[in-house]
Amino acid sequence: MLSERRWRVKKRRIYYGVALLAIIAFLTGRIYTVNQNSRIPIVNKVEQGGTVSYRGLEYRVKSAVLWDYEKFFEHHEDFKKYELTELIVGEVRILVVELQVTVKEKNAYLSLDIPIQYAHTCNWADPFLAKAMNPDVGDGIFQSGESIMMPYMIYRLNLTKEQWSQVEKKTMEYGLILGVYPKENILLVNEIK
Amino acid sequence: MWTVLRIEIKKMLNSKGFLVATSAGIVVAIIQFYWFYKYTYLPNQYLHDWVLNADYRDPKYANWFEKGILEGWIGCESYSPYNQMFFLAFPLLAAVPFGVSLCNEWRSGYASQVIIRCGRKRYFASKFIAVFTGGGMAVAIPLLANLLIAACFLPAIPIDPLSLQAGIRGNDMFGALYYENPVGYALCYVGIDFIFGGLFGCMTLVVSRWMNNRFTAVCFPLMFQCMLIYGVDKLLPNCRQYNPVFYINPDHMVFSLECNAGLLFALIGGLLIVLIGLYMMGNYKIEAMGRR
Repeated sequence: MLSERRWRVKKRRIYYGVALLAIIAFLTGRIYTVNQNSRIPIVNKVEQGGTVSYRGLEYRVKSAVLWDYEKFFEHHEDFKKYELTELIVGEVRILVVELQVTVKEKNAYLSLDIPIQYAHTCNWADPFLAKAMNPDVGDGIFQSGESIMMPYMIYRLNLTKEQWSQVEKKTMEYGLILGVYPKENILLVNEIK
Repeated sequence: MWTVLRIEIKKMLNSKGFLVATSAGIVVAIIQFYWFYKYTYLPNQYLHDWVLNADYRDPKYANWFEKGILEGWIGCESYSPYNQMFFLAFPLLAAVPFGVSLCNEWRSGYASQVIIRCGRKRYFASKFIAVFTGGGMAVAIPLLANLLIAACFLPAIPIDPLSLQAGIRGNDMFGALYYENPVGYALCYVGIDFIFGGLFGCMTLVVSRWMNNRFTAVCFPLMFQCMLIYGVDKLLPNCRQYNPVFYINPDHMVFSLECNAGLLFALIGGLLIVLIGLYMMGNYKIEAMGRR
């Protein structure tokens, strides 16, 4: 027979144990529910050359060219004034993506705010250079079927050694993001000249 | 050894200092998540409905991100002041639990009694381990509690780089883990902070040998951290990667490609060796009845 004191201690331990189990069960249930009901977007990945509809327009990547930063400006004298001279030589590349945009709906709207994502990082096109490369195009202003050139700077600073070597070998996979929720449209850019 | 260690750990867990430090940390963790819930989580929920009904011309069209667990966790949430508050008070939280216990026990004569019964080495080693564990637990428990609270509201999804809410770059230390396994990243940092908490606790233990004032000994790790952040870093801004205190905050304060896990563990190892060395030096041949 347990003494009264020991029995009281045992009873208290049982209560604590039951309370602990109840808390663990509640937390597990809650965490499970939160993760089951998370609003993760539906990902729609499209290979280069395929089309994606976004804001009433149809987008297609026609081509992509990766330039050395310095060579790009040597080759395109007109844009020389947009060159940033303080950048370290060899630390930056420019990926110029040619996008074909076609109107599909009446109330379609073109936004040049298209980010590019690669290797856990993302950036937007250089706005001044983009404007210079597409003088007749602006937010909401363009001709259906027209090609738009989007210049993206790729900085070595944001990448690991391996990732930078992928950039240099042109094996890095880039994705142009057209909307993120409820559907995430990714136009892949993987055939780079 | 195990008996002495068990007694020391039990003493540490039942000490008022441990209770105060852990409770203070948990209170900060709860207030932080309440702040996050009110000012970040709820507005984001309202924005969700707005985005679903937005038309093509709306700048918010198709532009909404689900908040991930790391965005609400005190370690990586940087909109509220609580991250800074917690990590500034970090050394103090680690020092309070059991850091000055050796000093107290010498004064009361308890240490002499234990040394006579179990030997100096066992007592000092057990004390060091108990202080290390106490310091680590005092900072790790609030971080874990906050992670658990965050997990009750936020899914364990990584932060989308496009949301521009990520404080860590992909090429930073543990960057891949941050973007691929957010819970793993948080747990990894809880482990690192446990070690740093232990080191700060032991720092108090070591300096209490030479300081007669217990308050000074408890505040020493905080002063040490402030010196490294506001003094050494200002003098040598290019050597930040060798400054251990910049590794404590999971929302990195270090932006250098040279930071890596190897360097972090080398710094931890170096600090531990220095502390053990000073601890041994400070307690070398102290007679059971000979101190103070």
